[in-house]
Amino acid sequence: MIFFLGLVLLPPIFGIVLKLDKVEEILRDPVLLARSWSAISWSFILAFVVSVLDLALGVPLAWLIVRSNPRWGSIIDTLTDIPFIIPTVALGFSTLLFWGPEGMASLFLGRAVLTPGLVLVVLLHFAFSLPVVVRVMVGELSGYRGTFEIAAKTLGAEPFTAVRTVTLPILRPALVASFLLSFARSLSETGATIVVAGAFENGPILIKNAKDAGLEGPLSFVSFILIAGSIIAFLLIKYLGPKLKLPVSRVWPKTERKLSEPSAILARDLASLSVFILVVIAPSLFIALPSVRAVFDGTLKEALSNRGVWSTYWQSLVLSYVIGMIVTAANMLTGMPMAMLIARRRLGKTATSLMDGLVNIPIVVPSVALGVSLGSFWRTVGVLPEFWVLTVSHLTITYTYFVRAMSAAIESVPSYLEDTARTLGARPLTVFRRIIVPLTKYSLFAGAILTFTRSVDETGAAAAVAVDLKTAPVLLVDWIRGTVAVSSSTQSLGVGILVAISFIGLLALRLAMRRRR
Amino acid sequence: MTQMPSVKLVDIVKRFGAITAINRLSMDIADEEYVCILGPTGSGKTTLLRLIAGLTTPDEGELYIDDKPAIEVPAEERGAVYVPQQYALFPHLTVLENVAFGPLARGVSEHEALRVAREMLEMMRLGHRANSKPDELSGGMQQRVALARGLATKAKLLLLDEPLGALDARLHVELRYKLRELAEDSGMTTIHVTHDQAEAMAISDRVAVLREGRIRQYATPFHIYMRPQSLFVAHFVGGANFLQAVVARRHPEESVLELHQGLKITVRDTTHQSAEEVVAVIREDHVNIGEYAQEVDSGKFNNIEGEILSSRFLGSFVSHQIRLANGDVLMSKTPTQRLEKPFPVGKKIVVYFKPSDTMVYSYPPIGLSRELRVL
Repeated sequence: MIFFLGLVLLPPIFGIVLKLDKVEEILRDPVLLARSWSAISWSFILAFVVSVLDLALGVPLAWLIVRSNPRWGSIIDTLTDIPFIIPTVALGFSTLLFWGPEGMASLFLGRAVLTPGLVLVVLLHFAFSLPVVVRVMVGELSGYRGTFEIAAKTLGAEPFTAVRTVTLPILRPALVASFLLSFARSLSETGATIVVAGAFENGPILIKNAKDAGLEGPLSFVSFILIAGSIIAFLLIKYLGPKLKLPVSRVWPKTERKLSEPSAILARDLASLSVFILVVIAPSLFIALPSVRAVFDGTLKEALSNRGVWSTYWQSLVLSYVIGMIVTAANMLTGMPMAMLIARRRLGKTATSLMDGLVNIPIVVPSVALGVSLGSFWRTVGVLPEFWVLTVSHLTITYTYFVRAMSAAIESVPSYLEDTARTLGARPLTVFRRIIVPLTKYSLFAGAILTFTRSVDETGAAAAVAVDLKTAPVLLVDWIRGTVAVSSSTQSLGVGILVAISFIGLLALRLAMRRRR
Repeated sequence: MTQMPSVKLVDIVKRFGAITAINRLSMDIADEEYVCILGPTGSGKTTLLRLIAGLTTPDEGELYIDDKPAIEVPAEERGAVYVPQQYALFPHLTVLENVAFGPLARGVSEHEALRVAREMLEMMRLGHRANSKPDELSGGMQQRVALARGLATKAKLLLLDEPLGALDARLHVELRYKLRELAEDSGMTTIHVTHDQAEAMAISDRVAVLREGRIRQYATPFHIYMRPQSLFVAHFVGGANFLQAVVARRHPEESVLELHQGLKITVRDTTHQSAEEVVAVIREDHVNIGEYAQEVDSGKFNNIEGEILSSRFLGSFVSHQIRLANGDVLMSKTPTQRLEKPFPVGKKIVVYFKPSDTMVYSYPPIGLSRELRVL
């Protein structure tokens, strides 16, 4: 609790309050102010549009995974994780290359299909937030009891009608939750967006640009509005979302019968799969091509020689992984008790639901804004060297992931097992060690990997917090944007190495999940 | 044999927000006694059990285990093993490890814990399943493992929360006697919570009928069935017919009650005043049906003309629904062997029952239907 309040919750709040005086600067400058508001608006518009698109594709895709032939389902399921596991910077670079002048698409058209800008940003955000929607919906759909749907069908409803009027309303909480997650993810992303944005500016990009240009005013102003706005948007969606009325009372038998025909279903499946492969998977994996080329054109040799830019690259990589490991270990130590508190409602109903909401803040708030705030706080406090400021910021950002994963896992362990163990003579610590930990060990492992990859992946906050130290994603952003001049082969290999390591992470996660089943 | 504990609850109160789950409840449980707490859903049974186990703390009142104050004693030191309806076998441990859990948690050496666990499993005839995981066992076996696990802790008190609830009907009946036998052999004091009155009647030394957090009657099953202290207990345990009446005349040996439309019956009860509003209660199996009025040596019967509304064959019993001449409706349960065949619907018959089989209660101030309401 003290850890949560002291290291996770309060620093960002104080940090932003400390900077409020800087906001005055911008209020006096109409040009900067207009630019800031435009960036902020774009952030929210983008998050909204992307989340709607994500639901539109994510739901049919989740449906396909759960209800189709298990082997195909499992393949699509694994594919969906790819954009999630690839560091977003790499995803951005990959997307840029795919749609760019040397990309796959230009092979057919002979020219670059898309140049950096808004459309590319939308496609990118769509790709990296889709897995969240699919993950949530697959979980819900596989736990959903088909009996309601069967009952509706035996009462005369067409399959499409049954799904629309019975299944989707029952799954509404999951729909709202996945909308929220993809909204938060889109709002927060920095590293990849910068790579494909071109002249387009949303909140996080403006923050990064302002930081690079040394403009403190817009930096603080946009951070503050993004933090406040995202919390308000989160609360609005969370409380108003479930009240949204779905059109369940009306039925259009003819249209819905047509939509329920096998040909219509096949068309729907094919359409969602094509969009998925063309817009999500292919751009995500495209990085493999130039990376492999870089392995053979001598760039790898150069990289291994640890000279020039590569020396900083390896340092950054080590820095990223060291921070990742410290953050993961610290999260496991401190997140577990918090997860217990939440899952077992140890603080009573009201305090628990408040705590539950507070724990979400680091995930809802754009990480770059959080980074600005954290940097301001820790530098003012002034006791920590930069390495630790960076580490603590990563801890703040990843805290939610671990606590969420663990509290869900602990909730799934029936409390009567704990009760019984205690009446058998086990003290609370023994119950924790011998009952809770063994029964949640796979979630513990999965939560740890998630925390670790999320930490290694983080760009926005890392860029906002640090002055001298650069984690691997931050360094790669500099490479790709040309802040540090390197060859395209070097860029590709640098990104490729990060991706390869992430894939090992995905593999470990998959294996752990399979063992649980 | 070591001295077994007695449990004593004094004026216990437990509230959850605005709801009072346990309301000034007092009861004693003697050494090695097998007590059933019987009550409808939401009556506070599980809360009571969790209070005794130490998993919940009462807001008021005192609790003694073995004559020692127990409220401050944490669950792990009470020596009261709680077995929930799902048995709570730890899914990640083998049967043997489950049974050895208690002794190990109490600091017994691993060697000794495993020895005790094996011994308990042998006693339950489950030695051959020591290395199985709980989900590989049948419901009955799981129950035995849960008991073996409780016994291995050398606990003195066994707290069973609906232990038969998860079993199918046939196994349910078979295992209830087995359960009683095992508890008796181990010499443990057992408190068994159930909402099934047949189960409670069949196995307990005493039954406590619980409603809205209060004990309505605490007595032997025989006593509860034959002399229920209240209309609710009569209704909840065994089921009965309830007829509204007024005391018409009171004699030294008996009273005459007037039912609807002036219909009169004689009862043995003389505790109610003339003109008092009362409810006459007759168990379904005390209501007899015949074609003619009855008169026997041991005393006269109440004979009332009626008509069969429906008849149901229930195997060993036939259940008839009868409309009396005054419009009241009665249920009757007759052993199948006493009938040649069920009476057909619409048949005019005579209902007869003994004055001594009719129990009389004052009309409840909250109204009859509310008094009898189970939920």
